[in-house]
Amino acid sequence: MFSRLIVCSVVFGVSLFSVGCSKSKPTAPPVATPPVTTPPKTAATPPVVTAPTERPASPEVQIAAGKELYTTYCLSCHGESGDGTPTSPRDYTQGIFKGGRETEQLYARTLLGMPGSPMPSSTNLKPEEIADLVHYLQSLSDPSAQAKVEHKRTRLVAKKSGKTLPEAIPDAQWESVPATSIVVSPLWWRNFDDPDLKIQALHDGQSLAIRVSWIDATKNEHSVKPQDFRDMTAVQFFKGGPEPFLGMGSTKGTVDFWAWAADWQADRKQYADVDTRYPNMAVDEYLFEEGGPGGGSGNGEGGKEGDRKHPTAKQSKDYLSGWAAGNLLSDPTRSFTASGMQAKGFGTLTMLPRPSQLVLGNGEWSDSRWTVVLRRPLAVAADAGLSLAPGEKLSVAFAIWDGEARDRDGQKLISIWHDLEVEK
Amino acid sequence: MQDFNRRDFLKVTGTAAAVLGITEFPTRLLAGVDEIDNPLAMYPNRDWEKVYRDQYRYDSTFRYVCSPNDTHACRLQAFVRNGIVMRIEQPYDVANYADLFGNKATCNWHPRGCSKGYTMHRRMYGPYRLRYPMIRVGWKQWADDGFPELTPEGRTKYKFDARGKDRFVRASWDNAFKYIAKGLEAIARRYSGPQGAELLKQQGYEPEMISEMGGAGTRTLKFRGGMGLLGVISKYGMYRVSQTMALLDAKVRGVDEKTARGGRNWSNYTWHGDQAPGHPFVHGLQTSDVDFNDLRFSKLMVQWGKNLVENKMTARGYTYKDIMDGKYGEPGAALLLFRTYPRHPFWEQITESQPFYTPTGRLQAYNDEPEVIEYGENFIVHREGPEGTPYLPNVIVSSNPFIRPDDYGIAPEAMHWDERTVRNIKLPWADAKLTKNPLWEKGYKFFCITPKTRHRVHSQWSVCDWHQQWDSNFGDPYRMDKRSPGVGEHQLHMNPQAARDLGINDGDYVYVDANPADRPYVGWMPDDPFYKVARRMLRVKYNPAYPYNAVMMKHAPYIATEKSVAAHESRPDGRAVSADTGYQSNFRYGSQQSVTRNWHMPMHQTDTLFHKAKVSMSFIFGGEADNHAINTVPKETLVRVVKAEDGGLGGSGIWEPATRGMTPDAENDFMKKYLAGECVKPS
Repeated sequence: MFSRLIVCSVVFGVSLFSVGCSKSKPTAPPVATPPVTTPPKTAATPPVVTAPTERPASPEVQIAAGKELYTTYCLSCHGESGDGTPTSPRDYTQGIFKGGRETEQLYARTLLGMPGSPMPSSTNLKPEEIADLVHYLQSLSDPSAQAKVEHKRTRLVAKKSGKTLPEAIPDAQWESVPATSIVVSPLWWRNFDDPDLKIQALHDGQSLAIRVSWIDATKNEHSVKPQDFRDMTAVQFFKGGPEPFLGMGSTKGTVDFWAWAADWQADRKQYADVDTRYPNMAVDEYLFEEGGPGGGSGNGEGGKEGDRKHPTAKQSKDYLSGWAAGNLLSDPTRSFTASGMQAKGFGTLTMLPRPSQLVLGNGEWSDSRWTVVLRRPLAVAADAGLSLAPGEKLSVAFAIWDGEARDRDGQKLISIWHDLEVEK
Repeated sequence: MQDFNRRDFLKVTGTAAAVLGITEFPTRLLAGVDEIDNPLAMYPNRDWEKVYRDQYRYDSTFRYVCSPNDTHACRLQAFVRNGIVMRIEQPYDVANYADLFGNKATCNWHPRGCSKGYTMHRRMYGPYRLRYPMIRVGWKQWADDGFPELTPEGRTKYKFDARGKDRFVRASWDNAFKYIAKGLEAIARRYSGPQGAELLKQQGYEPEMISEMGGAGTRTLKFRGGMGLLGVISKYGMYRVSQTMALLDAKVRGVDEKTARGGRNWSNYTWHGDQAPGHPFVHGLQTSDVDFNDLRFSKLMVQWGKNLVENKMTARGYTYKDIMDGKYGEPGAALLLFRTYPRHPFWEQITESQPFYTPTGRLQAYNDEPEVIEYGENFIVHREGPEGTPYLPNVIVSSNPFIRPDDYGIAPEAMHWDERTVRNIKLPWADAKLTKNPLWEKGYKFFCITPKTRHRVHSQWSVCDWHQQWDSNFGDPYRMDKRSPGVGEHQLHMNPQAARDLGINDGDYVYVDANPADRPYVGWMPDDPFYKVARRMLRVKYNPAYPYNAVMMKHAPYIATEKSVAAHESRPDGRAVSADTGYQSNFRYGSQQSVTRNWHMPMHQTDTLFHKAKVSMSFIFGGEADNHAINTVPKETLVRVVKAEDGGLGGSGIWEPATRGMTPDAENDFMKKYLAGECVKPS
């Protein structure tokens, strides 16, 4: 019971959305008292672990001793070089720690383990041994690595264009708009390379355009096969206060999304159907296909198939459940490349009704970089999402999905909330 | 760089959604998860369920008996919508109707029906079913030319030596019947009288066979009525057709009704090796004493590739009217009573006039009929297989001095298939175990068995795409590996160690070759293009349930033909579907027939002997259709297995599922723990 309570406090300090947060805005500060040996009196005042006094030995000695301990106790999961092979814990060599790289933080997690993950507690080790281990772990990476991925709240400005923005905003015009670098990190941990996410925003009093640009070495624009995952980006908006939970908002704070997906855009050129993604597939019949069951087959006619024997468009909508239920994603006649959505908490993310789909998106992939422009009228009707106006201040957050890394749903890189001002 | 089109742009900069005039979707706003104080007072919006209710909606239903060759006669229920049978289910009503005495079955018989029954509508509407008569072009030409005698040149001209490459033409039913009649007449005329007898002699028939015909060409016609129980329902009509050939004979030979002779009834039912070989010599019955209760309460059952034999006995006392009037339950339904319900083993033995329908009226462990003594089976003995053995083929293993078979002077070294089948050599085991089968010595060391699976697809495997997918470990509707002949393909189960010793990985393609003396066909040559069509190739599935020297392939897949092979090798998608007939092969190359053959052993031919009559509790001598003609033939054969292609996608590397640690003989640590029961901790 004792250790579980301690762990609660530690885990709370590293909740999902404060990954590597700057110490200037800690969610739960790693307080240094009381010491680990003191049992908690009540659950309301959870104790926090503190590292022991440094022992009189040189760092080199400590690191060497730590390495030996690592080999004995940690290597089987964390890998010989600390890179997380063969299992998939954090890569120590990247220097990005789930709850910070400070000595106290690492000491606490090593001692207590991380419930909910395979990381066990290490109560069999002496305090000084754990301290040695911590020194070794810290020695595997540069302290600046953590700093580089720290999320810091930033102010972005959507510049007002003097002229009405053209249908297609030329690259030259974007070049004059300042780009803000935004730190993102995985919501569900996976190793990743810094995607160098850059955000620009521009409006003309009528519509707002946001340009999202990030490094992605592989263009993934299909999602038909179970093995397929597409590249994607989304911007999350909230106006007013208090700011709701970053992850899909809450019942007290609806959040809006503008999302663009590479497959939606590719589908507008040529709809990716099951039989275009699996050109060798074969099926005897669909009962309610246009032309009726087995239409025209039998006695040899089965051998004379056309190129596209069973396209979705020839199927009865009633039997394509998603389409029949009104899910725009399942609708083969959908024509959007981007979509407006809303959420009021986990499990509530919903696409706006079809007439209210006013977000446009266009992505271009070149030199291993996606550049996506999302655009929507500032002012919209009540059922078309969050209405905006020049001079307003918004909370925004960003997410990108890397199809090559099989990102989908919650598996993505996310930012924290930032501030966006729509220039007056 | 942006690629918004004008319509999109207007949509954005225009006044809003109203402009678009889209009204098909209800503009219901986001329904978030609200705070719920009392879950009992709240029900979430589940309008979407209507979609599924609509999908399962139907206009009408009807119940019927599914009665294919498997004899189970399951009552099933079809659901119809817009005049189309959408799906077939079981009605779960077997316990609701009664037999003559009011006995009812129990719910233990549920579920009835197999996947073949449930997919009948897919078969009916699907692309593989014949919908009208067709005639082979070469044959039609032969008929139109007046059926000239088939010289070697004629055989080529009319493509009797390349039927698989010939085309078919559509015929009306009237025309089809006319051609059938013309063919029957031509045969009857050709083989009637002294000229016909001479012709048969030239073709190599034995004089006894020719004299048995009595000069009637109609006696060369053979008609198969089909299996017993189903024959009662329909196919016995073919035996009546056979009898009516006497009318043709009267016309052809100008003989009177007393001399006119009909065709021959051809009963090859158990040539399939379809039934468990319970021998009528011992019980007087072939097989009818299985009661499923015994199976239900058994802890271990070993069923080796044969039908579970039900109670093929006579139903009595029912009338069509009673059944249709609902006397026994729902109109049209009745529980058929085969003497007793449930089946009482040995009920006959205590209530009939004699315990067993044998000459002695008892179970017989000894038989003294001359032919039984001649064959060396006057006592119960073991024979090695005519081919599937490492020892002398077909050797009778016994040291009983009263077993005194006739070997007809055929030497043990003689290995022609006919010699092996009829030769009767007795050896005690001490000697028999020292003998060798030369085929085994040549490296054909796998017993290949080809059993059926009862409740999946009796008699025909792949009548629709779903069965092709379910049939093996290689089903894939997407056909990601275009080498696959269809959406699935056949597989050879093999002991993993045996496969590995031959360099064969799980999922690899292999060739399976049998005795080269007569398979894949008599007279094959490696450079004959048809050899490629006929040589069996399929995928290996590791299966540790099989002993080292046994391989298994389920029976009755659709064979590769010249046209399916041509399609497989030329179509962009690689499907083995014949271009002009739509025939879907289950193999890329070869077939079950590439390696198997029948062995009609004399002792299995009971048509001169005594046995219980099939359709009554009585005692008869001589032949009777189906169950007492040839009494099941062995089909086990020896094969060798040679790797053909890698199993990995596109022919490279190992078949991917076999690399995941979850397949036989490639288990990862977790799978090993799972198999050892270590993933569950007892509390």
